[in-house]
This record gives sequence, structure tokens and C-alpha cells, in this order.
Amino acid sequence: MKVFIALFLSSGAFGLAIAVIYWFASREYAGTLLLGFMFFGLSFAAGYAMLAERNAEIQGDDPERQHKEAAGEDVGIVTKESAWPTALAFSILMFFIGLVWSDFLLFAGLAAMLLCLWRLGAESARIGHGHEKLLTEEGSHKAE
Amino acid sequence: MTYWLTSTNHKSIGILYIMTTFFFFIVAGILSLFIRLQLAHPDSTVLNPHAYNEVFTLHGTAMIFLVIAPFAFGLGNYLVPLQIGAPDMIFPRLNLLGVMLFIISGFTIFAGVFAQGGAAAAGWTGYAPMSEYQIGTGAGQDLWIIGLLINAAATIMVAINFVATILLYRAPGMTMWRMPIFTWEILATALLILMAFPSLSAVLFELLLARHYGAHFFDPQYGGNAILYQHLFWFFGHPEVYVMILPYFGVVTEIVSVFSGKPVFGYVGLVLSAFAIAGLSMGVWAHHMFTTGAVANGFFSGMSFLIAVPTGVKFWNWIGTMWRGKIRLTTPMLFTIGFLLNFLVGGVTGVMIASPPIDYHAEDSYFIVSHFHYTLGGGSLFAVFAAVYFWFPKLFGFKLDELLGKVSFWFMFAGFNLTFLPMYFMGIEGMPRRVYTYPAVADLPWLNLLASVGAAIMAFAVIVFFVNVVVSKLAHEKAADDPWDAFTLEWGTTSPPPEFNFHALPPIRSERPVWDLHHPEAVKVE
Amino acid sequence: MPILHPASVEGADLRGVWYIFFGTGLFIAVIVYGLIFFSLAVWRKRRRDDGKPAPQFHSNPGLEITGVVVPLIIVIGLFYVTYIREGVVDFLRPNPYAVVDVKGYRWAWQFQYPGHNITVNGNPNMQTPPMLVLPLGKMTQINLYSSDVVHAFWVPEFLFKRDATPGYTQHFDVTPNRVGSFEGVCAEFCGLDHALMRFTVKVVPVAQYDRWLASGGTAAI
Repeated sequence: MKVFIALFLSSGAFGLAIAVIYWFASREYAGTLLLGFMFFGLSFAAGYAMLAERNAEIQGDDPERQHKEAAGEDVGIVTKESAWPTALAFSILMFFIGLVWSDFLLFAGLAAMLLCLWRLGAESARIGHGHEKLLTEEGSHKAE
Repeated sequence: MTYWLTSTNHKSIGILYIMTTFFFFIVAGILSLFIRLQLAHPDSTVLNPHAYNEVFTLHGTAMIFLVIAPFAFGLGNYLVPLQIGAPDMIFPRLNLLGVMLFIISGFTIFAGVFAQGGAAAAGWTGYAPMSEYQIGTGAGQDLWIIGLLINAAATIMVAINFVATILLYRAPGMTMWRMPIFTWEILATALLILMAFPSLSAVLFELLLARHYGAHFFDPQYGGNAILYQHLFWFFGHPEVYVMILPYFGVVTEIVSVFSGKPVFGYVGLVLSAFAIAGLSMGVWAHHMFTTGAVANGFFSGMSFLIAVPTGVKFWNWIGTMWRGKIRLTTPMLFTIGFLLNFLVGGVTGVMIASPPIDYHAEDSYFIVSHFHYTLGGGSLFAVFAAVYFWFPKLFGFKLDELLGKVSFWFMFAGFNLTFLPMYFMGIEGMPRRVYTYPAVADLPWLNLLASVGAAIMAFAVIVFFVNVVVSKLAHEKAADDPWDAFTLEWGTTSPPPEFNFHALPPIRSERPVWDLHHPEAVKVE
Repeated sequence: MPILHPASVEGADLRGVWYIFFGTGLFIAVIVYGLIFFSLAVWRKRRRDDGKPAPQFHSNPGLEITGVVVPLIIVIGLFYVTYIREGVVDFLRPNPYAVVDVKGYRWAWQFQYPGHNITVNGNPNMQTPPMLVLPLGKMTQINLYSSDVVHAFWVPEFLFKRDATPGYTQHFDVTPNRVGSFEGVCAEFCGLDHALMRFTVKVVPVAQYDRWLASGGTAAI
């Protein structure tokens, strides 16, 4: 986590530095604002990592850790298949086509997107209990 | 068939990306052959002016958004979880959404061919106010805009996935400083995507609003600003070229170290330089605008020169990796050496055009065309082939034939340089970009003819590659876990890997866990 | 080759920058290519290999620092050259001998000589591209703009171009130092007949230029 925070903070600080230098070198608004957004976005991510997840224990971060010690630990949700991402992709296409050519498709696409997002959420809730991947003693992953 | 539409496994998604990019590579390659056919002679009528404009627009758009960048995402998708010892990417369904959106984006852009007025014809850069005009650039241009908006969304999604996966999904003992350089480069690329792509989405949306909802962002007649488009586009556009090279720096690093039989030289330097390049690349965008007279040339020139330094560090470290090694000139290594030789030319000419006095002559000429083809073609595309030859056995379980591979390399290297070296001189002599014809003056006719011959040779090289795939499949020499005597975790499992990647993870105590496993006798030296 | 024989004073300055950068680039290429080919020749794995691994060194702080410092010095030097030369070329000098308003439009050029009621119009179907007449050895200020999309005004033998942007007029000066006719092209993609948007720069001795101007652009050139 420390590396992540360092990465995002230093990139953000760099963005701020060049935003300031750029402003005084050019007095140009578009570029300065874009660099400013870069600083803002990166700092937001770094800030979240620092404040909300500062105690997160990441398995990989401990250089001495062996698979044996981590065996039986939950490594998160790993799905095998789902129809909803592809359905969502086509809904997004419908939305964009509607944006240019057809109000009907615009709203139909939006409705389809919401439907897919709802089903994806339901899927996460269902999978979340009882389908975690666990780390075995050899370090491989098996489904519960 | 439904498997490919519903599988959220990173390996099937990675292969989907790669197959799709090779399809668009063939399409974009054929388009480039049409360009060279048209330009082989000064007064050619192979393509009429409008068709020519569509062809080079689609060629550029496809190579950038549908081939070079997404091949890296597909390769990263396949390899990163393996290289960090994870069972999959951390957001598998987001991953599937991303690849589907990517495939849809490609077909949306090309659907413009069937539109009235034809496909998009404003160049891959789509400069406003020209692209704002509805007249002459009809539905094809809109499909281009929509396709790219979808492509941008897909790219941002895959970037989020890479960052979160690399941060959270590493196996026990796989600290950040033990990750392969390829994974580090993917992380830097993902960061760059998150910083740069929103600007593309914004400017494309503005273009859409201008074309269909009465906005006038870029139209000076109504108070808009044409230069604004360029700022917003290039704020994305320049980092985009680094998105298209950083993963391939990673590929080069892996291959150079494996085929020199030595650890990466200057691991920390390679990591830091990746992020230095990513960060600096956010501050150079208006070096594409030196001739507008509306930007702070000095600032952008200085920043652009600075990027040469971390890139130089990489070259230095790659040479250091080969130094005193035991170099095996396999096909992947040949393509990688080709990368080094070609990219150096692209890099040196890049430093030249970072200087406004030089850019005042070179900008928008064939000098620029040559520069970016040397970096993206001679560089990234060669690295694509290097990656394919290197990781093919891991993905598909059989090796590609070495002899055919070497033949394809030599034809590719010869053809590439024959095509693009003359273009530097064409540019210096005054040939601008994006022209369907040119006057029969100076050296332009024979230089152009040479370039067209080179393109034919490259096409032959690509054909040899596909023949290789077919021949090798028929021979089907089963590949071992580690056919190259390589270093990183993906070589510590079967070819191809099982569903959740590892039956048993090797112990992870350095950045080369598989080497450590197979060469306990090798002594690490400082 | 325009680089070898630029036709303007500014072009001669710009040529110097080309030579310096090309020379530096060549120097770097020779070193990098040399090191690569040397490694391949000397350390290629031989058929009769002893099977032992290569020396497994992986860092050398001294060398790595050198790999940062040396390129940095080189680019600082190149930037210095750039900065000096660019300042000279970009500077808009006062009191030009001649002034021309240049307009780019889809798909030809228009040259207007303010105060002299001369307008030269181009047309992509014309056999002869429109002619921009300039006096030899004197500074001409060009005011460049576009009436529709972005174009670019490029005279290769001046080693110089500038964008013609709608809504924004650019000013630059040029001092031709050679008599003759020089090709000009549009260098920013502007649509269908972008390739046909050509013009000719005709540089004539000052006296001839003055005569041409006084005659309202009708005198023979």
C-alpha cells in the first residue's frame, strides 16, 4: 500500500508542479486546468488509500510470507462466467447510437444499462457468499 | 461460442483481445498497402481523394486504437495475473465488459464504411473545426466519434483493473520490488491511461455536441476556439503514444534478460524511468502545436527534451543486461534487437523535432510520419512480434517454428527500413502529410517508389508469420512449462496454464522465482 | 535539398540547428549501435558452451548514474541551442519593408498586399498556383489566417511553416536571400483537395518588386 500511495502522491505532486510552472510560462487556461485535474484526481486516489485503507494487509507485501501461512485465506471473488457484462456492452452501444440518431434508442439504451447493472449487482451479492477462491498450501487457488 | 461471450477468465479475455487486434492489424495493414500503392507514382488514380482520406484516417485510427494499444492490454491481461501469482484479474466481469466494448468499438468505427459519405475522413486526429462540419463528413465521422468514446471507456476500465489487481492481488512474497518489469510497465501504463483518457472522452463528447446539439466549442465564428481542440486532443494524444510504448519496453526487458541469461540490469532504474516517462509525458502535449504560434514553445520543448533522459536510461540498462551475458539469438530476441535498432532512430529524430526550429520545417511532413512509424512500427510492432514468438508456447501449448520466425524477422526488418527511411528525406524535401498525390519533383518519385516496395516486403513478412502459425499448429510440438529457460512466474506453470493458473506456486524470493527454482547453483552477484 | 540551400536568412539560421542535432544524433546512434553489435559479437552463446550461467550481476550504481547524467547534459546543451535560435527566429521585427496578408481557405491561398490594393487568388484547378511576390534581401511581414479550417503555410526552402488557424492571426517575418521561384504547400490536413493547395513564392530584386507593387500587380515578373 505504501508503494501505491507513494506512486499516486508523487505523480500528483509532479502534476501540480508542472501546472504551476506551465501557468507562469504560458498563462494558458486549458492546459493548466487539465494538469490541475490530474493533480486533483491522483491526490484523491492517494488520499483514499491513506485514510480509508491504511490498515489493509496485502498478502503480497510481506517479503517473507510463504504460501503455507496464507493457506485457507480468502482472496476475493473470482467468477467463472457471466452474461451481463456483454449485455451491458451492447446496451452502452445502443445508448451512444441513440445519442446521435434516435431519442428512443437513447432511453432504451439507458434502461438496458440500468437493467444490466442491477443484475450485475445481484450477481455479486449471490457470489459473495460461498464462492470465494481460497489459497491452498501449495499456493494454488481452489474454488469453495 | 457462448463461452467467449461469457467467460470472465483473464486468459480467455486476453486471447480475445489478441485475436481482435490481429484481425484489425490485417485490415489496417491492407489499408496501408493501398496508401503505398497510391503513392508509388506521382499521378496515381488507385484511390480518389475522398477515398484516400478515409483510408489513411482508418489506418491510423485502427493501428493506434485497435491494434498496438489493445494488444498490450490483451498481453497484460493474460500475463499480469500469472506474473504476480494471482488467480485472475481482480474485477473479472469488468474485464469482460472492457473487452466486449473494445470489440464493439472497432466494428463501430469501421461501420462508417457503409455510411452515406463513407467512413471518417478527418485523420486520426480529427481536428476541429473541420470535424465539426456536418457537410462532407456525415455518419461515418459520427460512428468514428462513438466508436472512440466506447474504446476510451473500455481502456479506462482495463486500466482500473490493472492498477487494483497489481496492488491487491499479488501472491504471498511477491512484493512490488519483486514484480517483473513487464508488470511494472503495465502499472505505469494504467496510471497514464487514468490521467490522459478523460481528456479524450471530453473532447470527443464536445465534438458530438457540436455536430448534433448546436454547440460551438471550436468554431471561431460563434466564439469558439480552434486551438482549444488541439489542447484537449493532444493532452490525451501525447500520453497515448507512451501508452503504446511502455508495455513494449516491458516486453523488451523480459526478452533481453531471458536471452542474455542474466537478471535485468538496473531494475530500480527501469522502474523509476517508467514512471518518469509517464509523468513527464503529461507535460509535453503542445509539442504537436509548435507551429500554431499559440503555445509556450519553450516550455514544451524543454519538457520534451527531458523525456529523452529516462528513455536513455532504459537503453543503457538493456545494454547492461546483454553485457557479458550468454546471448541466444532466438526469434523473439531478433525482433527485440530490431526494436532496439529501430526505436533508437525514432527516439533520436524525436529529440530533433522537440526543437521548434527543426519542427518548423519538419512538422506535418513525412519526417514526422517516419518518426512515429519508427517508434510505433519499428518499435512497438516489432515488440508485438517479439512478444508473440516468446509467449506463444505459453498461451497455445506449442512452439512456433524458429526458421520461419527468423525469415519473417529479416523480411520485416528489411521491408520496414526500406519503407520508412526514405520518408525522412521525403519530408525534408517538402512532402507534406496526408496527401493523395505529390508533384514529380526532386527525389520524391523514386523515394516514394522505394517506400512502396518496402511495404510489399513487409506484407510478405506478415504472410510468412501466418504461414508459420499454420505450419506450427499442424506440427504441434507440445511446449514444456519453460521452453526458453526463463525467469518469471508464468513459466512456472503448464503451457497453457490451468483455469486458476497454478497447481503449485514456486517460492517467491526475488524478481526471478522460476530461475531461482531451476538454477539454484547460480550465484547472485552485486 | 532545402536543408543544404535555404532561400532565406532565417532558413540559414535554422539549418545550423539541423546540423547540430543531426550530428549529435549520429554520435549517439554510433555509440548505442556499437555497444549492441559489440555485445552480440562477443557474448553470443557459443555452440560449445560450458553450461555455466553468465555472471549474474544486476546493478552498478556508478554506471547507472552516468546513464542519467550524460543524457541530461546532452539535452541541456541541445535545449540551449534551441532556445537561442528560436528566440531569433520567432522574434517579430519592427518596420518590415513589405507586408502581406495570407489567407488559407478550402482549397487555395489568397495573398493581399494591404495599402496597395493587390489581391492574388488561388484555385486548385488552376494550372499555375497563386504567386506570392517577395523582395530580395528585405524583411517581409506575413499575417497568416484562415477563413474556415486549420491550414498551414509551408515553404520548404525557407525551412519554415506556420499554421493558418481560423479566428487567430499569426505574424512572422521572412527575409529571402536568393532570387527564384520556390514551392509552397499546405501542411495541415484540410479535406478533399489538401494535396492541391499549392502556391509559389517568387523572390525578385527590390527594384522589380517596387515596380510590380506600383503597377498594382500587373507588371511582368
